[in-house]
Amino acid sequence: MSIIVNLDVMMAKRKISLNELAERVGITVANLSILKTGKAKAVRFSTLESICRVLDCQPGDILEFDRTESEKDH
Amino acid sequence: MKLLGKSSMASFLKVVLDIVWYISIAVIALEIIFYVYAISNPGAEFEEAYIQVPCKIKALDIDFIDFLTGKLDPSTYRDKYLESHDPSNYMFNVRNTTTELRFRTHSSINLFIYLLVRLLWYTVYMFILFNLRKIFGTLRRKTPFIHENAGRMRMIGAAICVTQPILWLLLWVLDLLVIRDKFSLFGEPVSVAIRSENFIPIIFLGLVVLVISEVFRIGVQMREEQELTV
Repeated sequence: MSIIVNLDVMMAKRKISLNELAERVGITVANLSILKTGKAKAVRFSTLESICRVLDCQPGDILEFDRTESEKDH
Repeated sequence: MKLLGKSSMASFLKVVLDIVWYISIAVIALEIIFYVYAISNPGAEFEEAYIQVPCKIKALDIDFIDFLTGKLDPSTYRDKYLESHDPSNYMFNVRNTTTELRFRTHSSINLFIYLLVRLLWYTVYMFILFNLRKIFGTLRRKTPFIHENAGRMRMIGAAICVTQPILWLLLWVLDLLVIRDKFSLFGEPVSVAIRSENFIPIIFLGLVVLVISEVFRIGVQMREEQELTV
């Protein structure tokens, strides 16, 4: 997957735990864990919006595009 | 009416399939044992070791109108006009005279070819039944969209499509070696009826199942994507 999720980096910067973030965003810990470990296939805009609001960041701070991985996949 | 899950129609059908599965195992095992015994004892006469095949009898085409209008009673020509050219090896009677020839034979090779035809049929039948049981098991658990089900449906479709031509070939061999030139009715030869109208709808059904298996595979992908959407 060429989209890298840097949620753990942002969580560390904001010093927030997975449980607390899940509770404040309003999704389950299991789903947030799927996103954090890069297993997710899609993210709803509403979820992304909530995460950005809670962590006070931009979508680009959480998601990153890796061109080399993309070229490997195609 | 509840169609999926516990205490549903799917659950009921799963139980029916399970019962049919175990009864089929018993019946097929007994039949194979019996035929193998009959083949290995060619001299012995077994009332139940018979060959029963759909047959094409040309003479019946001529008198078909008489047959339909009741002027020609099947029972009158059953034993009167049907002749075996080799009475020492073929003892016969005709069931449902227009379509099925049923006869006993002392020849082990004849019985062996017949057993091969039946074995192929039973193998496909049991394979489909086995996979249907598995599929209905997942319907009872309300988890139909899994890779295994897509694979099972694909295998059922392929089995139907592949085995029909093989069955056709075996019936042709059975006709060539066992039936043709062995019987006649009204002086006309009797042969196995290998009708395309019997095989084509079944192959068509197999192709439909193949296409549905692909739909299932897409369903599995959609479920996985939906589950991994945060």
